Amino acid sequence: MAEPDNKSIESLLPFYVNGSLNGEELRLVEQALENNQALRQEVIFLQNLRKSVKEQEPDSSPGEFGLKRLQKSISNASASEKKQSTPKNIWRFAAVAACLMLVIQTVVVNLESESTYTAAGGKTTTVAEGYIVSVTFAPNVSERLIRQLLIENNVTIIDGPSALGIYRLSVTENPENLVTLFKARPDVIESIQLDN
Amino acid sequence: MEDESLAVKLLNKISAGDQDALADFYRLFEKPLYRFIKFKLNDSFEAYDILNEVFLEVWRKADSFEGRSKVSTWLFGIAYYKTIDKLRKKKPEMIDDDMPDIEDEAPTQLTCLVNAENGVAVRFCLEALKAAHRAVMELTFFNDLSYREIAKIVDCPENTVKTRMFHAKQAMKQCLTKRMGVE
Repeated sequence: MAEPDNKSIESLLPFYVNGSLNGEELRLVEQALENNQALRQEVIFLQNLRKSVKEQEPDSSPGEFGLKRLQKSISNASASEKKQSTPKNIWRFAAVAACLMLVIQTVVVNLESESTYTAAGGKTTTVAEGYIVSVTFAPNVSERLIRQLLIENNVTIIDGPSALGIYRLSVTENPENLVTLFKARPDVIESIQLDN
Repeated sequence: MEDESLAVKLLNKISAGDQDALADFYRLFEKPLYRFIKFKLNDSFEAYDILNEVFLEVWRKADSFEGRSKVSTWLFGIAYYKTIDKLRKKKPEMIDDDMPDIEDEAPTQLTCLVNAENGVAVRFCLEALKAAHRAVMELTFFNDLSYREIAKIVDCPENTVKTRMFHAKQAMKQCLTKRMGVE
């Protein structure tokens, strides 16, 4: 077997650094490293880079929330499979009802279009400043209580709800204080996490 | 590997419709899989969605696992395709695999600068990598996989994995040099 050039050895270095090389390739890399200062320097760079990649913390994974969502998706999928065997007349009725809803919505939207109010479905882009906190609200909390708590603490909803019911809030200062304060309100806040 | 044999047993039970086995399987892989998806998409909500889709696919297609690769390789492969598909719809230019050769940047200074104190710059540069390069970087340095396993996950030749890793490393050097003002 011909001796590999430096470029081939260099392309193996990341896998030497992560410990996944073995056999002949490992021997060739070790041999090349003995005689080449630049390659040894490259190994140190890659070792530091690997350490940095491992230290990068993503946001919290969805955990048990995600499992509940998965179980719900499976049960919805099974339910829709069962529905496929329902009589055609039910679908006809549903189609007529959907058409009626569409007509009603079109009329309502057209009536409203003469005013300056344009909220329906319109997307608002918000630039978040300060810190981001993710929360889920208690299932039975009223909108009034949520509004009151957010206004009192000068907090703005900037994103959500996600499919898991998570909202992102923007906080301008003292996010740790806010987390403590919100944790003391389980009647309104079900879970909270500081994102940055 | 203990986890591997557990994962195979769980997959067998899942293919027989056992939801408790799916829950155990989810708990076994959820964290590394989420990290992998989030690392590529850089959007928590979208990563949650893809994670859900991956486990739904496991639920539906557990019986299609033939044992020709490790369970994690099969699973990360599903996640890879779903994230690439999502990125293709969002930002096709981010998937582009072609990249010009980049001159090697001052390795000595960079060696010293890539450390915990510069984690923010490293994170910025990782996020700036193209999706295909970021995936290989993550699988190599976080999951510590061999280039052969990575080639199975991203479904490309083994040499392409090495080339992508080489480009990813060069792009990191270039980005870190700019961010840290190394001359």
